[in-house]
Amino acid sequence: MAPNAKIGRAFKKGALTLCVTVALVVFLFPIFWMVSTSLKTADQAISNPPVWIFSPTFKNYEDIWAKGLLLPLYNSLVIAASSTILAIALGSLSAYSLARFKFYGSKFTAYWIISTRMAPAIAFVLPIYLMMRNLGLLDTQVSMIIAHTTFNLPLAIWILRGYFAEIPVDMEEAAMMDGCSRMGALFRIVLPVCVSGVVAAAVICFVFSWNEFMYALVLTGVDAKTLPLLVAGVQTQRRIMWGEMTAMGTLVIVPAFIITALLRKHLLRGLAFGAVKG
Amino acid sequence: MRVSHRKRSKYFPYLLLSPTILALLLITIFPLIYGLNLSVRHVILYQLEEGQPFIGLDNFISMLNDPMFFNALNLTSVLVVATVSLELLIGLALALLLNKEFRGAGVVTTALLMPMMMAPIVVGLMWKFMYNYDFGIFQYLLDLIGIPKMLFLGSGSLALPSIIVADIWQWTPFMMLVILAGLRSLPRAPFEAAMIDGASGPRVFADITLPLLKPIILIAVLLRAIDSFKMFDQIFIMTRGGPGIATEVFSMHIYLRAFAYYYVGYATAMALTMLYAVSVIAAPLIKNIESSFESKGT
Amino acid sequence: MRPEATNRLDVANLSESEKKVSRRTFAKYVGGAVAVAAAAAAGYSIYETTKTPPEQTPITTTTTEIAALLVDQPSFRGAAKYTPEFEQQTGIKVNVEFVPYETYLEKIIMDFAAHTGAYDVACLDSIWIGPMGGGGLLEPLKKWLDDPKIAAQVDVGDFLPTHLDLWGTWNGETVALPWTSDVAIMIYNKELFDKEGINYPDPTGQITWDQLHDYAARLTKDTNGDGEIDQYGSALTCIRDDPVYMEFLFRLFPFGGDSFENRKPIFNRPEGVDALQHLLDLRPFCPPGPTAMNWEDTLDLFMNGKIAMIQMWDSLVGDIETPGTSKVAGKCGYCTNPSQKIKAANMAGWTIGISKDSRNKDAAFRYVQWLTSKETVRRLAYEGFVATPARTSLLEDPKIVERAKWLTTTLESLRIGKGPPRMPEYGAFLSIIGKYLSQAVDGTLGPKEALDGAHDEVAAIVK
Repeated sequence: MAPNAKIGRAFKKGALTLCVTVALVVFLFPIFWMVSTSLKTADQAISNPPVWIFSPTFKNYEDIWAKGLLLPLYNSLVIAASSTILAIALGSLSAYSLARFKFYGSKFTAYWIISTRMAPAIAFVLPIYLMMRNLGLLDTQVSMIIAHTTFNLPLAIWILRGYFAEIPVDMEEAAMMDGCSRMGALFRIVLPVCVSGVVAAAVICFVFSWNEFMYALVLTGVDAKTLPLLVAGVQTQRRIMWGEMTAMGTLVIVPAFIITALLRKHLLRGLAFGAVKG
Repeated sequence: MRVSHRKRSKYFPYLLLSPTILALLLITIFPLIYGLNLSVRHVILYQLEEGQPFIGLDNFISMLNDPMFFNALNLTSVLVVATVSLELLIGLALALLLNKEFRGAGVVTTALLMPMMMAPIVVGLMWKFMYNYDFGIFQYLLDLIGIPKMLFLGSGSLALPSIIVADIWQWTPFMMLVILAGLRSLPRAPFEAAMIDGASGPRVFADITLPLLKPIILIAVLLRAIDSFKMFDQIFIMTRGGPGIATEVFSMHIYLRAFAYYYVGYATAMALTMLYAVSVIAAPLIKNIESSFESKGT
Repeated sequence: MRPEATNRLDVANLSESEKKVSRRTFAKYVGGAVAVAAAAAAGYSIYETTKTPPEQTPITTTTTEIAALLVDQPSFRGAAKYTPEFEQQTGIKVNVEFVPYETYLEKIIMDFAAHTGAYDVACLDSIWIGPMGGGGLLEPLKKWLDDPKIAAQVDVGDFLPTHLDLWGTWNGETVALPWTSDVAIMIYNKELFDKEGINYPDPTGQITWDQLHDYAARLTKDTNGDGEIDQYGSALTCIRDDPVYMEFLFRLFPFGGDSFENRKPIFNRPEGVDALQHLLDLRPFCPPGPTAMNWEDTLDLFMNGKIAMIQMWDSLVGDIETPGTSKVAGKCGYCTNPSQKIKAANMAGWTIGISKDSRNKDAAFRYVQWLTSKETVRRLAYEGFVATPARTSLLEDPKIVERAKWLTTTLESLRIGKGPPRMPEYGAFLSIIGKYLSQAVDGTLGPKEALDGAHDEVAAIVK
């Protein structure tokens, strides 16, 4: 290879590495800082200049454990997982319908679906509270799942619709000519090919539900309490317990991170078939 | 078989959509009607069930006469434009970067997704911690490059930009994720054809990648803009609308009117207006998305 | 239908590999969903079974259950700790739930105003009596307090009279019983005073605001010679809305002013403008960014030895004397809030009340009675959960006095104390005045402008 090309490639590689490093530092530093603060004592946490080297202590985590971590964690998991599954399941059907077919009212329906997300949570909070109260669902996981699905469903539909529309129709047409039904085409052709999109949508829905605060505050009490409420409880009137806050923040991020790491393969798989790639 | 196929498929799309429509309708019909009812009455929160005099459009008129309403509108517009545009640019750049095959790309991608995974409350508290005037890490970093301590969240002029920065930090990964997944689902054929033709990198990007990505990008922008407009959690934690009224964006303003003034009727009128405003502003964007779906077929 | 794609596929190849993969992924989806559902169902059933409390059968035939929503605060945490004793004594099950202060009012008002009745017992900060009372959301306690036996046990006369009057009564009816008292006192760093040669004020005395200004000027300096000021004379806790209003009120009363007179706003009279001007003049001697500082931020700085004098609520000062947490433990002095034309102090306090929609009002009252009883509060005070009880007998209890070094100051402050306005529209008023004061502190508006602006807006709302 010509020497110029070699230098060019090395330069490109160097630039790539530099960019990736900068991105990593920028996006990960606050998280690193949060985790390291969670292992510090109260004094060290607020000392100036900041403490970089120190012997870690797990006291903050012990304190949180004492405050009762298991139940909110469990609730958050169930609620987030359920509303995500519901949103993706219902959503993929609807997204497919909107992406593939031009039928009367399709544009308006799509518009209406996303418009349900446009109202600020405040507008919904009081009526949904009253609804759940009348149904006797206050302080249950079910009420939260329903509430979360209402904002995850439009999100899932619109994201999935974008990815579904990428797939050329003739793939499904071909399969259907082979004797496959429409639904079969959806499950066997479109979804597998769009795996990264579906996983992306699922991750986003899960995260939104996991981190949701307003409905959690209003609709839950003791039984269905979720993690974000635990975090908010860190701002006591006397002082912000930075140690506990960072520890809780770290704990809250862990399950979401694990799930993403597990799904990473699917996320980046892209089109592994080679078929559409020609 | 052809005939029955076509006949079946006429109702098929509606069938697929029906569970969604049903679910959404059930949940949103009551709030909508309840909201409309509240918005035309003078309702005080602690007298919720009694005393709801009908006042027609008075709430809306007061709203238009209130300078705080326009302040909130102004602040929110700045917030939305700044966050969405920067998140788009940086997110796009990152997605392109991560789309290249290099060792550890998977790990890096997962790592870069972390900010998005954090609860907005935690992000708010975390950044409040870092922005703190006395022991915030940013003061230390500024000191390293010789800049004196700066007031972030406590400054009338820097509070909103500080919040914007925190939001960009948190949500750029969202853009990156959506665009990256989109890049991964792009068909290879046009790219290979371009390579055979000898097209250069930037031209491929401009003429092939971008147009193909257009619907995905627009959808990401739409979703992000809607959420940015509604931003509440972080502001509640970081500044509660202050200093002064420097960060009293729309959601915060409505919240204060509802839970501090107890003017639930007025607050609901504002929320409905906000809903209307967003849907009107989003309409051209949505139309754009729809038309780019129609022109798809390559 | 969509326009034709330009790619043509090899269908045969496609179906083979497609079928294989799609079955796998399909199985993954369905299998995954089923697994998750099964796990959730299993988990939930486990939780349900282990949730049953292992209690003995109660004395009464039906288990009465009440729910209390309390602010996450040491005093209530202490109460929750001992609640099982109450449950054993009475057979009433109490579900205690905690919520942070910022979000408490929303949650409790929604429950009460919507007549949900999910919570029977609520705690009230002084300023919430307006909306709660004004909305008729609290159950009057007369029917229980009229019973001589109960009245004797409760000993209503032992409660701090102003406290009961201001924050436990609405429309002449007693609707809540006092829990703890909150008084704003001045705390100063003795070491820093010594270095400047400033004399300590008497614990039941005070300095004037003008004196504070002078001392603050002397005490604000750069102690380690790096060109940056790192020691401040005083602090301004001016975040919206409650703190900035309180800081203003600390000065408004001694300057001879008040917020309202017969529901007419009078805070923009000359004394009010002077008070605000005095606050603004103090800014150079306080940490920067007052409009972002909340009580805990000021406390943090004081405990790190960075500030010489602060005005702080006595319920929050417990940590100041705790050696591990505070660098100034044992080095603090206390006196009442500064005076100017007159001596005055700022009071607030907590009370506990019952929901009008409670389905178990008797049980709820018994819990409130137990909470506010001398025995319970005394024990919580001994253990440090409660800083300043709202009962006169307890304020004179030697053990409590010994623990709370500031108690003499507190007692004097209670004597000369005044409270914030009591009105249903308090929320709106606070929002408005908070907004204008905050803008005055950050320099956007002049003091007279700010107060006049607030006056006009408030007058429109409070009629």
